[in-house]
Amino acid sequence: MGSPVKKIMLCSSEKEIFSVEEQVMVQHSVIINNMIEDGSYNHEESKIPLDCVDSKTLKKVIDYCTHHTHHHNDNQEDLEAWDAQFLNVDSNGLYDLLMAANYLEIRNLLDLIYGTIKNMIKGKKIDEIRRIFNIKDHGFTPEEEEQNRKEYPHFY
Amino acid sequence: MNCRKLSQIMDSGSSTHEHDPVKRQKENNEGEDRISELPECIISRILSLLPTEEAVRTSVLSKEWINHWRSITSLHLDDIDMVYGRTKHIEHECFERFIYRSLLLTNSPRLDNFSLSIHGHHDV
Repeated sequence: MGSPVKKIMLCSSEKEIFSVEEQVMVQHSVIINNMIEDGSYNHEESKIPLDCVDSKTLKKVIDYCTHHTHHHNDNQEDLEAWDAQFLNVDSNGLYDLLMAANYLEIRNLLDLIYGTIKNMIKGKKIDEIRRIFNIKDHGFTPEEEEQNRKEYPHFY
Repeated sequence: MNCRKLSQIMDSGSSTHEHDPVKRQKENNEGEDRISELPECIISRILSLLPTEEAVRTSVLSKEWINHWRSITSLHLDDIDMVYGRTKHIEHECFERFIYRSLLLTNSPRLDNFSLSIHGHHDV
């Protein structure tokens, strides 16, 4: 029998506790890696409070880190298919994941989400981008908006 | 599009100091505009992945977006779409001006990537 897997405790904004393999989070999150390295996490007592990450999002983040730790040898295609399925969430879910990945500094997840949002913009007309991102109040006066539409008709 | 128009859109933000805070009606979940609330550094990372022309284009999305494109840290300039492609929308000589102005107007302290693809003849 090998030594037991070391776990750390993460606490969501709803105060729900998630027990995760230390290695999984250390590998992916710069912040957690730093906490473990500088000894500010006490395995007997500490819980890492993630006040701006809700349970649903934290569970997704842990799923991502766990999968990428245990499947990093999978072929690229399989990993990309898994990532695509993983990010098959509504736009709110995507922003929540983005903010969580940003807070925990999970760089590969951040890059994945940046690329996804980039693809939601690329090649789209302005009206379409506004619809995708719910930009209803553009803040331009009717005259300014009309002027833009007249000057750059191919944008819209 | 002529050069004047193109420069206008790129410059439009630099003189807008009276930008009123946009009072957005908060709606629950689905209807909310959350992309506009992302921190500038994140918006910059996303826009930096786009062809520069498309990043500039986001300045007409809303008042809040007028200056976001200027924070990009990568420039991807390609004349094929802007001048020669199916979606051609600027004159040949405007491409050079677009390059100069992109370099001039971005306000990021550093540039991570610069790519320039030229298919036609330009006096750059």
